Amino acid sequence: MMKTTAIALFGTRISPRFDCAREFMLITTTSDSAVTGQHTETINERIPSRKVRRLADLKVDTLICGGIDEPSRQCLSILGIKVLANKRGSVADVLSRCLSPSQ
Amino acid sequence: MANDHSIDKFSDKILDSIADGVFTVDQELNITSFNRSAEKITGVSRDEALGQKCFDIFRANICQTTCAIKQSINSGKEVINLRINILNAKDCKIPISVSTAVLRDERGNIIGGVSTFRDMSTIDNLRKELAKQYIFEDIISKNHKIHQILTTLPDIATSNSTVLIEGPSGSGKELFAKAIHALSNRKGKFIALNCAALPDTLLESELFGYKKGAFTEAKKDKKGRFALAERGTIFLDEIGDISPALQLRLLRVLQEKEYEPLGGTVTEKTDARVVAATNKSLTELVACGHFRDDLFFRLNVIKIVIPPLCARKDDIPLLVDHFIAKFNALKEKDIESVTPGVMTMLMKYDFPGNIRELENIIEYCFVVCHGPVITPEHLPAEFVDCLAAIINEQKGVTTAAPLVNAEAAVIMDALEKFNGCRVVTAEYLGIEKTTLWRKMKRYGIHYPTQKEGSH
Repeated sequence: MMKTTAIALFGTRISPRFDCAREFMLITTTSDSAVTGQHTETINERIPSRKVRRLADLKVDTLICGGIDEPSRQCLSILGIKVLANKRGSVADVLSRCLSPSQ
Repeated sequence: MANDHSIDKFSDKILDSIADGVFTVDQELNITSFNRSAEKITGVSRDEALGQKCFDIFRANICQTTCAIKQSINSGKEVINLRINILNAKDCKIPISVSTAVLRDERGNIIGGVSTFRDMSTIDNLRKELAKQYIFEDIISKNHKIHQILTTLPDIATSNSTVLIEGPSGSGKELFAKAIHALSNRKGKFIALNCAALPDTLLESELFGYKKGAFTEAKKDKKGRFALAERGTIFLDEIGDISPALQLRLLRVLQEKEYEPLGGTVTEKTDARVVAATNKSLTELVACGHFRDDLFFRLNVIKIVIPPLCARKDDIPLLVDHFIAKFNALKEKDIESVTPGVMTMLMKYDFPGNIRELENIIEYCFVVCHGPVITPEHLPAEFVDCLAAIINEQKGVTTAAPLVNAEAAVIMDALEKFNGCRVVTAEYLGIEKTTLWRKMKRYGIHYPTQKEGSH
C-alpha cells in the first residue's frame, strides 16, 4: 500500500515551525519504505487550518515537522494525518530515521 | 587562563541574574550561550540549547523569513524591540520582544550575534482584555468537536454566509463569532447586540437607527447597528428572544439587504454579514410557533453547535491555565496553579453556567488566595455546596451538611487514588498531613494505611 509523507521544509532542513513552513517535500513510499515518488509542494496558506486542509487534500498520511501548535496538531489528527513533530536537522538525516517499515 | 575562566564565570553570573532572556550565536547561528531567563521563557535547558541552531530552539515566526539575529550579523546593525512569537518547549506560542546586535572580536571581525528577549504574555493578555480583541487562537480547547468546528471556521469566515451559532449560555458563542469576523476578509467592524437585553422598541432603534424627530427624545439622527456594521459583521445574540414583529423586520433585512431607520422615509442598504446566536433550540421554537420558519431558514445557512463544558471536560485544565494567566495579568498576582484536589473537584462539576461560570470561580479564587497555589479552601461556598449535592446524588446520600460531604468525598477519592498513602494524599490535596489526619477523624474516614512511599 502506498503512503505519502510530507516534510515541512526550511531549505535543506526540517522547518522549525509547521505554521511558518511554505514548502513541503512530499514523498510516496511503498509498505517496505521504497521511495516511489518525490516532489516539493508550495503551500502559501497564512492560516494553519487551511494549510492542514491542503495537506489532507494532497492525501498526506504522515507529517514530519519541527514545532507545531496544539490546534494544528489536533486538526491534523482529526483529518487522520499522523504527526511526527519536534524533529530537527537536515531532511536527509531525519528521513532516514523516520522512514522505516514500522512508520 | 585562570583569569579568563574567572571572567567567564563572572559574566555567566551577571547574565543569569538578568530577567530578560539572553543568548549568543556564532555566524552559523549555533547557540554559544544561553542564560537562565532564556531557559525559563523557552522551557529549554541550557545543556539542550548549547550547540543547536537558534531557529530549532526558539522556533520563532520570523526564523524562516526575516531572522533578526541573522540580519544583525549580515548588516552589522542592531534590531531593537521587535515583536515576534516563539514556540516554547511545550509547543505553546509565547509573544516576545527581541533585540539583536552583532558580536565582534578584538580586531572588529564579526564572530556572531547576541539577542535579548522578553516574555510579553502578561502585557498581551492585559491589552487583549482592555480592547476585548480575541482571535482564532483564543478559543481554548483540545476537544475533538471544537476542533472540527475550528477546522471549518476559515471557510465559514470567507464565505460571507449567514451563520447561526447554537450553544448554552457561557459557552463562548461570541468568541466564535469574533473569530469568524477576524478570519474573514471583511474590512468593517464587529458589532454585537444582545437581543434579549432590550425591550422591542429600543431594540428596533438600536438595530436600524432613527432619524431626528422620530420620537420625543430623538434630537438628531442616530446610526443603528446595521449601519455601524457596514462592510463588517453584526452579531445578534439571543436571537430566539426577539418579538414576532421584529422577526419580520429582520427577515426583510436578510432577504432584501435593506431597511428603514425609525422615522425615516429613505430605504438604507446594508451589506453587514449576520452572525446570530441562541441558547435555545430554534427548531423547537419554530415548531411551537414562537419563531418564524422563514426567518429560521434565512439564519440557518451555516449552523455551528457548541457543546456545553460538561460535554468537553478535557478542556477544563486548559481553561483553568488560561484564566490563571489572564487574572495574573489583570490582578498583578503570581498564582502558579491549582492543587490536584481543586482540579478533581472542578472536573467532577457539571458547570451549568459553562465557561463563564468556570471563569467566575477562578476569579473568586484569585481574590481570596494569597499564596502561589489555589487550594480547596479558596473555592466559593456555592460551588462546594453544588458539588456536594452532585456527589451525594451519585452516592445516594442525603445530608444536611453538604460542605462536609463534599470535602469527605474528595478525601476518600484521593485516598483511593493513592492506595491509602497519607503523605501523597495530603500533598495532592494541598494540605498538611496533620490536617488530613484531623479531617479523616472528623469525618469518620477509615482507610487502610499502606507503607508510606508506596502508591
